[in-house]
Amino acid sequence: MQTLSRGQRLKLADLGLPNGNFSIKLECNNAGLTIDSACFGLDAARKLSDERYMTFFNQPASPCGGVRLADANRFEFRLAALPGSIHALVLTLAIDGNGVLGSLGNSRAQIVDDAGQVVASFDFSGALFKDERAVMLIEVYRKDDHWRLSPVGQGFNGGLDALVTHFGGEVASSAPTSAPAAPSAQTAARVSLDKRIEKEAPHLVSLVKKASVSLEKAGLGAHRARVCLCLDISGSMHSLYKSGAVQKFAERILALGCRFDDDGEIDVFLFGANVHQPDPLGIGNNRNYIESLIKKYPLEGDTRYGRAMQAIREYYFHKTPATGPQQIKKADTPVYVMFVTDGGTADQPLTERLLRESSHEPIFWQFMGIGKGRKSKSKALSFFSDSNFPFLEKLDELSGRLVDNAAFFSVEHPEEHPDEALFDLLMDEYPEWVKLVRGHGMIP
Amino acid sequence: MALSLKKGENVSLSKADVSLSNVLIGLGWEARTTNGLDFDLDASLFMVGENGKVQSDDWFIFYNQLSSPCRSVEHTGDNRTGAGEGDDEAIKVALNKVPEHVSRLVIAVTIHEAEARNQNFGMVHDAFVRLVNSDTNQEILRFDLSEDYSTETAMVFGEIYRRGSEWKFRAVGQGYSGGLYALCMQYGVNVT
Repeated sequence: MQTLSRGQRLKLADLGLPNGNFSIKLECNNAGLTIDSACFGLDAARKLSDERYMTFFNQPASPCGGVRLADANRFEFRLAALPGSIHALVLTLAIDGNGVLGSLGNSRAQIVDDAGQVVASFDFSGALFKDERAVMLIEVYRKDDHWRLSPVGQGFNGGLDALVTHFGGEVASSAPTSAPAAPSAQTAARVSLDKRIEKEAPHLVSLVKKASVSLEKAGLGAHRARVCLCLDISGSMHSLYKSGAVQKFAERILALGCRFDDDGEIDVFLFGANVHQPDPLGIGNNRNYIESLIKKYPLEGDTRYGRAMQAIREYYFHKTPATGPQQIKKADTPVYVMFVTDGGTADQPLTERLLRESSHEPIFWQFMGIGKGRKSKSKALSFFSDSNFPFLEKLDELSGRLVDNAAFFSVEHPEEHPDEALFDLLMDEYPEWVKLVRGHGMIP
Repeated sequence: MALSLKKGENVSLSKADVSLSNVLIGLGWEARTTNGLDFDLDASLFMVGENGKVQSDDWFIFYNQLSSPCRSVEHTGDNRTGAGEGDDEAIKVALNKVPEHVSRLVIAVTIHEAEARNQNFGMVHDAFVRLVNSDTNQEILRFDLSEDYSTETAMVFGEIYRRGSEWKFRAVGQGYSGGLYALCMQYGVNVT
């Protein structure tokens, strides 16, 4: 076994790892610090140009599988699987919370071959650092057609933010203010949100991961949107509220919201005869959220989609002036409305008019009908019989709109689809709509 | 044409390029982007006689003594951070002005206070040292310090030496412990 020193650089082949299959095992003597590890896959300019190549607890593998967080303290590498665009992998440590790495105890990073043999060890401690809060610990990089490895052992007092900035924060300052946030800021915000989820709502961690997978598949891995959950509180929904099915569904939508947005909250609207806007559903208050909601807003005796839609439109776009010949409204981020109902509406003409009008706004309406419907994605034949949702089926195809801004599917029960399938369903028509509204200049 | 030398090889400078009379030793590196003390690399040159020692301290060219009494060797000055493109420090040598008592020019690269700052070449990005024919701008030799001398803190880059009536160059590429101080002791410079 070879002992590596900071700054040393050597070929992986010289460590007996010519095929680039190995693991790095971290043993940190944290001395009371909370330390997170991550692996950044950088391009030739040493930038994280593809966020999917940041491998950490909430994104535990790169798309190619070349980097994998095998367990909390072990990264597994299959370098041959990496695309040519990835020139360097930098394994980093960052403190979450207070403290500096200067107080780190005796720690080590071991390079382990596929047979489980430790081929090299980089021993480090606070003596190598001072006020750094994030460090590049080990770098594996391409050089002259070889992969090399170096214990870098240098970092930033500014912590994870500084590290992320270092790996790509220098986004052109000339970009218009309406442009999406810099990848670095997004990444940093996402990491801190992921930390919050892990701490405050650990039951959501795997849901959020599943949402990520569906978004990636839909090509929306870096997409940003505000998420709104609009719930039917008509009396017929009673058993669904009571059984916890609505609560579980709301958590799934919150998980989607945690990928689309980085504030860890989604807006909630309730509608029956009237419309209510309770406090947003968030990471901190999601447990029993629906139960306490229903105590505060008892179920009502009517169902009026139109009123709810009007309230939602006003909330998001009331102050936005319409511009251009098509009288469109513009926003930095679009709004994704998850509209849940178990029956028809009493204000059909209003609903149709609002859907047409809002096709000029960056707002997408995803309707889900709970009951029997022709748009059930389940294959059981019974679901293709009489529909409870002829109107929603019509809305989905409504004419006179600038863009197709609505999608509809029905389920017999909110938990009919496994999480993965539900997230895929939610992303069925939305990606196409994003392209359309972008084409119309409604979003950047 | 450009020559590619490997460690330990030598070449006749006069034969390699008949016009060669002025050479430049260039030292470059990237400024530190991480937190911590700057990387301060230094290029130095010892003008030694047949006995392997300098005639006097005047013949040791470094950041505090930028030229030799004969003006055949000129140092462009101390760069303490690596800021700037290309060569951050350079030593220019006019071979035909080097006095007779000097038979060898030993070129060294060191990290200032490497031990106290706990630094080595591998911690520095894109550190290199090169030898250039300054009349034609042709590079004769280049060492990648960051990659190939990563664990070193000081190195003898090479020696330009007399062989008969011509100058030859040997690529030494030997790491050295003890920094500039140890080299000064070896080549007879009085360090106080």
